[in-house]
Amino acid sequence: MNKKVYSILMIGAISVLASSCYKKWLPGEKPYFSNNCNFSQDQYTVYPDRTNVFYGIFNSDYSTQPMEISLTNMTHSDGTPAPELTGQVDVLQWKDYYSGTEKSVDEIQAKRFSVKRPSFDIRSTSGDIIFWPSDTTNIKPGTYIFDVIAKNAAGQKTFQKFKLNVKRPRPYEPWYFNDDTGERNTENIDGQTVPAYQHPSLSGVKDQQNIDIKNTDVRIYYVWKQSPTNTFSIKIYDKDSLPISFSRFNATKWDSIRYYSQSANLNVQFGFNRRFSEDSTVVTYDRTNPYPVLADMQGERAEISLTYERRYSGSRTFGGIRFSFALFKQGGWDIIVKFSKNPRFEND
Amino acid sequence: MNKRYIHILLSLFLVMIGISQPVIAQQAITFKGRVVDAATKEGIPGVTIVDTKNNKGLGVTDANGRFSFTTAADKSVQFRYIGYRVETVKLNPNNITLNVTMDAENKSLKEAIVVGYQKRTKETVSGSVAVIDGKALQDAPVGNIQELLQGKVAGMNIQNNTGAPGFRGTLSIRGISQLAVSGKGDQAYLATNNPLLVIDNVPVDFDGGISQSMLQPGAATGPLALIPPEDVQSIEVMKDAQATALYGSRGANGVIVVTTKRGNSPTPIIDLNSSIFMNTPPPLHKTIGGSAERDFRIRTIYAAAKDLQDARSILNNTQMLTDSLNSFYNNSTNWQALFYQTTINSNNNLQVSGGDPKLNYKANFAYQMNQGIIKNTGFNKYSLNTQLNMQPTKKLRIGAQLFSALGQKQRGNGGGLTGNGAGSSFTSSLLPGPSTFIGNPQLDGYQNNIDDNNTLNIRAFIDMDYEFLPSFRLVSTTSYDYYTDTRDRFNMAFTNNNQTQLYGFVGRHDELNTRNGVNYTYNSNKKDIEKGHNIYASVFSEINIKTDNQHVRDVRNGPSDFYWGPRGYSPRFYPGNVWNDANGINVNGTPVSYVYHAASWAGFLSYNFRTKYVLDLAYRLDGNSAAGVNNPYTQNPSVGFRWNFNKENLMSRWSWLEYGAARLTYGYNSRPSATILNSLGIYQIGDKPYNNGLPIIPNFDMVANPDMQPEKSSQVNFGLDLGLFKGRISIIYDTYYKHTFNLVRDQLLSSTTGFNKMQVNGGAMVNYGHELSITTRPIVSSNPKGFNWTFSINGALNKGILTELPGGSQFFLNIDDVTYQSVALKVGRNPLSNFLYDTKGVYAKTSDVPVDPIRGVRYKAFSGTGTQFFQAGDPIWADLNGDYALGAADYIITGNPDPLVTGGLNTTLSYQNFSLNVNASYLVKRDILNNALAARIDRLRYADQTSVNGNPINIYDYTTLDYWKGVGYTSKYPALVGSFVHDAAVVPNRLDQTVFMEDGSYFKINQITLAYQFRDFNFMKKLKLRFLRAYFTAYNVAMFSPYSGPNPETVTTLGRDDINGYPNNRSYTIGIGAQF
Repeated sequence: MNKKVYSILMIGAISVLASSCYKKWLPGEKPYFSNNCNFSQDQYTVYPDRTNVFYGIFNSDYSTQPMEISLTNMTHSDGTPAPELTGQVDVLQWKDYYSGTEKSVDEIQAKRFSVKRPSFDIRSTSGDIIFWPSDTTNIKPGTYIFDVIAKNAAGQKTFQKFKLNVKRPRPYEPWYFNDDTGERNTENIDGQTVPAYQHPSLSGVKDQQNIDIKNTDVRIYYVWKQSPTNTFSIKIYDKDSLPISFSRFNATKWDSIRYYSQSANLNVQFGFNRRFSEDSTVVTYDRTNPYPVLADMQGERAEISLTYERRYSGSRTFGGIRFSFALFKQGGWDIIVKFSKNPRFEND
Repeated sequence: MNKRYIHILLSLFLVMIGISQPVIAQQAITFKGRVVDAATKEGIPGVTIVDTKNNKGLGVTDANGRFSFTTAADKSVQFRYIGYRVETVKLNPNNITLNVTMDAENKSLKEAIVVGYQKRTKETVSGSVAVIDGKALQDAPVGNIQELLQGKVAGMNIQNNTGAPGFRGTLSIRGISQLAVSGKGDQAYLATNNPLLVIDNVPVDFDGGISQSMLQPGAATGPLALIPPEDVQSIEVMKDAQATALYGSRGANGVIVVTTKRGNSPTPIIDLNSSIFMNTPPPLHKTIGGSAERDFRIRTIYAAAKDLQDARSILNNTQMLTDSLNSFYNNSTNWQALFYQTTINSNNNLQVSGGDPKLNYKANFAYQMNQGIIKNTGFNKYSLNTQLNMQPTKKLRIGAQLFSALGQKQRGNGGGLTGNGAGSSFTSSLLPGPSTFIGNPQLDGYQNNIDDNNTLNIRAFIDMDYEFLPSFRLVSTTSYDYYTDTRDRFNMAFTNNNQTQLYGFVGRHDELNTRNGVNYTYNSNKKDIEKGHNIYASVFSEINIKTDNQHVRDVRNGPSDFYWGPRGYSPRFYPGNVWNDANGINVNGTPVSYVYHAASWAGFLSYNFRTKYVLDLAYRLDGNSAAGVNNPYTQNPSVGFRWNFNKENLMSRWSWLEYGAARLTYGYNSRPSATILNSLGIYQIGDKPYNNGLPIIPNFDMVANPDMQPEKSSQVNFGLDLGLFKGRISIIYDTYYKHTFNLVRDQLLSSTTGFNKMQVNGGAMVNYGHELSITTRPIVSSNPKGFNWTFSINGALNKGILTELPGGSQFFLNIDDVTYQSVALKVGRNPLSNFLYDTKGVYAKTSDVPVDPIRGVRYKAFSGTGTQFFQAGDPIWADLNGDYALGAADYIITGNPDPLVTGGLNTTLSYQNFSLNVNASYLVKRDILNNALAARIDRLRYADQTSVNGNPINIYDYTTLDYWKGVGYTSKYPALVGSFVHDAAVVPNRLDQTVFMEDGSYFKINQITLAYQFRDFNFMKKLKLRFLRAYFTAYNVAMFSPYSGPNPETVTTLGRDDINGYPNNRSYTIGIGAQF
């Protein structure tokens, strides 16, 4: 009895032992690093007064996650090291998402929190490059050179000599100045070269002779002023620099003015806490900085459209001006719309 | 003088006669008696009675085991019969009636099996061979005998993944050894791992040389579908390298040898098997219909539209929901039931056989009518198998066989191999049912479209062996196998988008195979081979010539539904036709036309010492005409060793050990991978003229690789065979390590070469595992009418690991752009894995969705621009790279579509004349993708439509699903419909996520048979019935599985559960078997 049990067990044990070392002859599963992982661009143009995010630029080509991607070896274009890029700054990050339905600036600010990050930052797991808003006295505009190392447990790859172009700050958009010289650009109107300004889009706006006013006859100026809170005001002047009252724009539904925000996928209310001056020539709003919210992420613009109705040539017509903008500098801004031909508001 | 002489002569003559008389007259006695089996006490026919002294045959027992012979009394005679121990009886003149009982011998050891075309006894075979007795394959009428092999051989994984009659499921021996994935989406499939099929010593391509691809143009009926199970004597499965070595490179995936019955009875025996069976459709999918469907649609539109105004506008435009009193749009039609039917079919087999080892014959006629459960599908087959064996002298043996079969298959409305089902074809229940004036395109297609496939197969072989010198035998086998396939398809215009389609396919292929060789047998002790050295050697050469031609005619857009011919060049595809169907696929032409030659040489040597230690050496060299120019030959060497340790002195004393053997084998198998295309390149007619003539230019897709090497596999197999307690328990255990390398993979080339890719050898994988098969007879009663119980169970554990990819690469992705369920190949893991998003749950509230701190937005479904933000009710997919967007980096490699453990069990109980046989099979740990469920959930989105992209919309019974129902709810599946816009952007119920990957383990009861054996009844004697048996079988009885879909077995080799798959049906059979 014993012998048979013993011998069966022996035979069984030998074969099981022999077969359990099958695993030792085989390679185990290892992480994978693909040498084809790449960045989609090697030149980065940033503006120091806003949050610049380069998102989705790194393709890991199915390498095993998580990866560790870091910036190294930052130098000026002449090769001298640039430690200012790694200096820590206070930045605002989001703890809740921007929904577009907030009713006040404070509600939006409550969703943000402050944290210290290096000025020139990268998200280590995904390779998104961020340049946080910084002081131009600290980080001077110019070209910087840096390397990026991408690695995971199976290997690494160094991307060399990427360029960081720090431009002059652009306090508002649309910006018509040359990034390098600081001089205003020029544009060609009717064969003449004149300084470039933003022109609103006009529809059905006619001058005193009932001839359509071209949009190149209207210029928009942006003037910054010191203010303890972030605000902006809109003023409209005619050709003699006399203010045009907003009551002339009698078809404008002020409470319904919305612009489309891609970040929230919603038509968002234009500005907060609207107030008019006594003679209705200036309208002032409170705003976040930057305005619109996340303007620096998705390239969004706030848009306002002012319309009026009049009777002309036997029918009721609507005229209006529309323009979009974004503001990045803290403080108060005056947005001035100057007509070089007077629009006609009266009925005919 | 003359008279005297005559007298003297006469008296001398008489004296001489007198002297010689003692040979005859010296106590010549007639002995009579009966030979019975010791266990069953039944007479054994055909037992040879031999005079031991001069080895002369004295007689043979008759059908009842009775014999009578006359011989001298002091002789001893032997009673010999295959499978029984030789009985020696010393004749006693006083005892002329002999009642001889013969004991069954270890059938499993002394019986002869044919391995590598060589007849060996199982005791001396060192390879791993599993034998299935033909009796185990009876009583269940199926379209293809492969179905009945499921669960009977450890290590052979058979999945009956389609119920379409006449089609076969998948088969692989010892894991998958292919990496090539073709096709997309639900139709993606793995290149086949077919073994070689040998029918009565004739090698036949497993599928008849037809590729079983989804785009199968022809009839797709292989040789296994045409063989009737009643004609099968035994099936042997060769699993390791030593057993398959002599079959050459075609046997690299294993070999299945089918041996058909031979005649063996002095009086002719007529066997009749007839049965009627009923195929019943499986449980249908629960769908919602009638007012519940109408309510669901309206409710969904309200909930999922952007706002009330949008909902109202959608409802206004959905004609079928606008008026609840409209009788056209407010029905409750059970469409599913209209596609399925219950059918009654029959299976008949008549066999006439007889003879003795000197001359025996057999003729087997079979007819089966098998209609499927989906309208217009079915498989009828007729076959005739005749065989004649002669042994005129001891030195010469000749055998001849002629097999002919006709298979007629109707495919209904189906396209490819598994796309015959009705899963996605039925439409909303609100629409009215079919009637005189209203038709439904899909249903009409199933009922009225014609898809007739006919396969005609004729196979003839003649084989002979002749002993031209003592111990030398000359063996020669020649066979010719011929197939004709035709397929005629007609689709009415109403069912095919207003175009008629007339399709004709004709294929002919044939194979001529001749094998000639010499055997040599040497036994140092001829009287008892168990006491000396034995050598068996053989060499043979084999020549194989195959031709194949296929032609297709596809005529579309005919003038009317009654235009069925003639068929010629399709106007739709005629070049220069301004309405040329530029987007359609033109299948007209000759897709296959080739002649293929192969020549092989093989040598085999087996040496055994006292049948205790056995050494086998085999080598085969194959060359074929499709191989790479620089490497036309493949080599298959192998070595095997076997130790029958029960014959050792020590162990022969162990009474509990009846037999025991240990086997160890090692061998190489090569599989030719070169085709004319990848080793020589493709040339085509250039599309732009050069010098005013049309040039012939290479095809720039693939460059030729003349150094293509065959795919090789080396395998080590260790096996243990044990028989314990006098045959009460027998155990067969095998463990193996198989290394397959030189697998052909595509290597993409740089664009500077001008070519896209080249095929190179470079993939490698390892399969290792254990197989165990135990047969026990726990209850045996000495009375043959008492209670007997036999139980056997087998299981195989197989693990596969990918060890190499060409160029040292570690990872390769087969991207699927239809369902996005890509297949990943990663070194160090199982060879094929799924590449899916990791579902970790469902967001209960929108505030649970992670927010990107840098960008201030929620996690979204696309990393580019866009607003595909996640919300409550969407699935939580792990964001592996932390970029708060769903992207390619968030896929994980997970899952294994190859099962871990497969096996079966069989139990037979018999009492008195009744016997009950239960056969079951099981599978453990397999990852399958429930695409059928995902497809049904996807349809719930289209609440306002009855069809999308030509596919009808029906509403699945979603109430059984654990889906997200509202804010704060946690569930397994995401919200069925978030909002129309949101779902199109985020696709929460997409196919490529782990929530649809489920475990497909199952335990299936294949067959339950209750049989009654009629014995000693009066009517049997009157009708001269020797044997009568009646049985009732339930086939495909039940399936137990944690899988949430209907059937975890009807999935593709990659584990995809296609909504359009043809379901497996249950069938009930009543039959009788009689022998006259």
